[in-house]
Amino acid sequence: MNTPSKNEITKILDDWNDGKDDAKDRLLPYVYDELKRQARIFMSRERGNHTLQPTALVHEAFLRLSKQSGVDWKNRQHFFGIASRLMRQILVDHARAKSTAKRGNKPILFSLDDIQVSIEQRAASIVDLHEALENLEKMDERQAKIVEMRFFGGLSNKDIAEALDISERTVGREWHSAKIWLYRELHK
Amino acid sequence: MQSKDWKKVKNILQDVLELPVAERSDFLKNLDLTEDIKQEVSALLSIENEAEDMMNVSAASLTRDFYNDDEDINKGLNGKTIGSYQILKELGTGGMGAVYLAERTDGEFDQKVAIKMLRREFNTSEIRKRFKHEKEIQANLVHPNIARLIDAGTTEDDIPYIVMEYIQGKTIDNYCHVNGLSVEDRLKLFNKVCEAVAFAHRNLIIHRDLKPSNIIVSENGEPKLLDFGISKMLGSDIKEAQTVTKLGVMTPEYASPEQIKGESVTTSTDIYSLGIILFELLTGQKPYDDEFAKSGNIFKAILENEPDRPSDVLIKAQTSDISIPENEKYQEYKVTETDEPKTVPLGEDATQKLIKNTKPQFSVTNPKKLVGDIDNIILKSIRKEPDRRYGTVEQFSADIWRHLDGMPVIARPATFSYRASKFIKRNKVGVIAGGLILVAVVAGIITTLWQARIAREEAEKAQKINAFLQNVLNFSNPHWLSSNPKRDRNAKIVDALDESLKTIDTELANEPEVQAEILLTIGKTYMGQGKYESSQEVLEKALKKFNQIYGTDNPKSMQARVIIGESLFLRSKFKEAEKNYLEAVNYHRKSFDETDENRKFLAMALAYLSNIYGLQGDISKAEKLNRESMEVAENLTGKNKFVIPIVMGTKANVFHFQGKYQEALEKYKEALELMKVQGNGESFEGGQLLVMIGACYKGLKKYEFAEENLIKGYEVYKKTVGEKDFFSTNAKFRLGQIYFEQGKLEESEKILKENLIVQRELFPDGHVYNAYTEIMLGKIYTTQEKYIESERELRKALKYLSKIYNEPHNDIALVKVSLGSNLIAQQKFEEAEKYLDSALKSYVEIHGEEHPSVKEVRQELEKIK
Repeated sequence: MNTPSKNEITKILDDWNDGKDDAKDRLLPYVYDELKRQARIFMSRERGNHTLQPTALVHEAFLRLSKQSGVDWKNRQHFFGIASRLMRQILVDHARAKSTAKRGNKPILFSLDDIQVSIEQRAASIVDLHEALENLEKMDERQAKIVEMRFFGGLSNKDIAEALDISERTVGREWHSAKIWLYRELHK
Repeated sequence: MQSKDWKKVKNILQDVLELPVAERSDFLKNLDLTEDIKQEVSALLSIENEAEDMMNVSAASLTRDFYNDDEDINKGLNGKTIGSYQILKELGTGGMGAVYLAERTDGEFDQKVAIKMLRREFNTSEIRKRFKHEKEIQANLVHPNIARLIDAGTTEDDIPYIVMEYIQGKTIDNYCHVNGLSVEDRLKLFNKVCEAVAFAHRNLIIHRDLKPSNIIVSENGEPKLLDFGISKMLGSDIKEAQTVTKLGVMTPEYASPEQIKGESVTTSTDIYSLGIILFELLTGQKPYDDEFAKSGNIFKAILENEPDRPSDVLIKAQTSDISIPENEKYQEYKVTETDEPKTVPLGEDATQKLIKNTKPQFSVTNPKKLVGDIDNIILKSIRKEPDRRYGTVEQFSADIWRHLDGMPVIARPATFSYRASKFIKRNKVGVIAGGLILVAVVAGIITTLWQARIAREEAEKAQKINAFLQNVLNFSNPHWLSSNPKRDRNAKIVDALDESLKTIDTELANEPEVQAEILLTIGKTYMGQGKYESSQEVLEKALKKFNQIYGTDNPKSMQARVIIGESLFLRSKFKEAEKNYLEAVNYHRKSFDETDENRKFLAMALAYLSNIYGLQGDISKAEKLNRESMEVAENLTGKNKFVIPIVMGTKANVFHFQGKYQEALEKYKEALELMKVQGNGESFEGGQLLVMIGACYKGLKKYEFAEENLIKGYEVYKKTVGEKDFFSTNAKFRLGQIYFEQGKLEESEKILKENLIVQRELFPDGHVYNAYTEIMLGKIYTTQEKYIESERELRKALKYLSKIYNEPHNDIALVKVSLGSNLIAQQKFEEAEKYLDSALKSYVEIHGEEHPSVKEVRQELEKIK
């Protein structure tokens, strides 16, 4: 991908500020590349930091794109929405590349303990989760989006509530029930 | 599970989860739900604890060590096989796709191709749709200067790709530079690009992303257009078009003002981008590079700055030490990969990396070669307003050819007023800050200068026109004072004009503007002389010239069209008349800097259109146009107010068409009153109103009033347009009609016969009014029991009407009924029945079963039985 031209980003962000819907789609490639860049920087830092939060990564991407364009950009929350979707794509793509393990092994929980599991195992599980989430998406798009923003985008319930314009309580209820459903889906 | 079932389950689950564990089962039991749902909720509740810890860290934390090797997963395609092609290497990625160089694996042909593949992360249905769209467009565009589509398909993991002709060559700017092409060669090369774009336009496709990196010149010097990725199909359904816009990522440096403003994109958008490309090919810079370097805001520059003349840009660049500012933009494109410099990948941004690093070269260009024509041509193509650019790519290209051939070009420098208005717009903020006095001063100076310039130009033009027209007048001056070699005292103005037309082409060969003006004047005069055909012929010549000088959209051409429309209308050629009026109306509706004179023509075009629709029975359309016409007319000033009563008259016509004679009568009278107040009661148009007043009285069967007004009208016609004129014969015909209706058969026959002689002189090839007169005569003879004469006249009329109208037609049916009655009287029943049957069929089809004419024919048919 080429270095995003300053002009293009400026134009797209301006359009977004003006409420032009299509700006979001046009921004995708840039955010994607920026996130990937950020991800590489973050991921290659020293290994000690186990609780790396993608939030920081998304924030950083947002700041860089805003600064680069010189646009005072209002749609910060919406940006998180796209960023989460793209983070998911980036992570799943990488997982697919690493996933040589056979399916059917004991599924993991994507919890702190799983950091110890082999790369291949984790990669396979991420792909499985991604597919399960796709199934949830078919039944309930908003709920799947919440999972995506929280798990892949690393966003807090508060951020999610603002981005989707719903209450924090709703986010919590949706998250809780989604986890149960996904758990069962992965252990079928 | 179905979506609605899940949502039901989910809602209950969420409610239950908020309850203390002890209360849950009772709560669930008491709900009015199907067993299935209760079971599902219970099942999910039972795993609550196991799921508790799930996803308590983010995905990124779990995958961070996936990144320790920094390879790009998209590059993993090298060496892989897609369809029957093996990928050799990546040529570049950009936007939503990546482009690979590949070759056929089956070895059938030693053919290298470029494969464009969607990036897997963007493999969504919407983007796939766009990709498919690109494929379809490419498949339709088979042209030597457009990269060819070879194949298309999807990979095993369902990623769509298209296989394109791989062009070994250089981007057009690089090609010009490396080969040190002369200005002429650059122009010729550019014209080939224009051909390709024009071809796409003819196929209803707008490229929308024309830029040097999308134009590759192959080794044999043929330019090829690439990447219809964000092109738009004209006339495709809106939804599709929007989808495409939505995903389009344009290249700002070549984007037109309308693209930046998000306005509708037309073929004119491509003309603009082509103009910028030509600017760059000849000067090494784009028009807004300077501004961009200064402010960093290219959008503002594109929307607001007036571009400098290409020749000035070139001179400036050649006199400054550094050839081009090394601004941020160029640094951004530092070469990051060392590709073989002579192989330029297909489109995409990898190419840009190469190009931007090579400084544009303009030493080969002599600025003098750009001064004048080329400056004008380029600046015309990149005007901010699409309708001020060339109308089509062909016109743009033709102007370049004209320049190459040493012919005068169409493009003119922007008028002073145009530049002045831009100046004021551009400096608005500063000017206002400096106080209103400054505005007044600036505006004042500008206006004065502008008027002085216009005045000077107009004076020169007027002198030439004057000289020519004097010569025309001298035609009828036998005295030695006359400069015209053919002096004839008895010559009429029409003869003089006929004569002058013979010389205009040669005498004013180098003055197309003056020629066009004179032709317009002559056309107007012919119109007034009732020479409709000559008028049309001359005006069409004028129209062509005006179009050549100013482009198709200009007020003078529209004036010509309005008069052409009238000459067609008066010869009952309504379809063609409509076409001309619509052109004029559409132009004026969208044009802004309108003079009163031009508005007058608009009002008249609308009024005539209203009459055309009224005649065709489309009353609501007629009324709508008439209202619009009146709105325009009422805002006219001075002498042009004369149009108001004329428009009123056409409003009355609409009533008249509907047989609402009383309303029509009042409106005609009102119009005539106004005309009298304006001092124009005795004008030709006043005569028209008098005749129509007579026609209304005829409809109301008040024959005396009818006769009185028709005679008055005829007198006015005699004085204004003369006896031998279509309008005069029309007034007489109407008189003949009322005499007939009053039973004054002899008077009627006399006036109609006299009239027919003049009519035949005016319209030797026949005219529908000749036929109507014949019908009237036929009716008179039938009444007088002169069946043979009657039959002769009616058959003549029928023959003529059948030639100009298609059946079913009311007037043809009318003649057939008259003929039928005539034949019955002559006891020729068989033939009579044939005509009556045919007329009956037509009437029923046109008016329906209940119409009085239908009953009348049935009565006649009864007689036979």
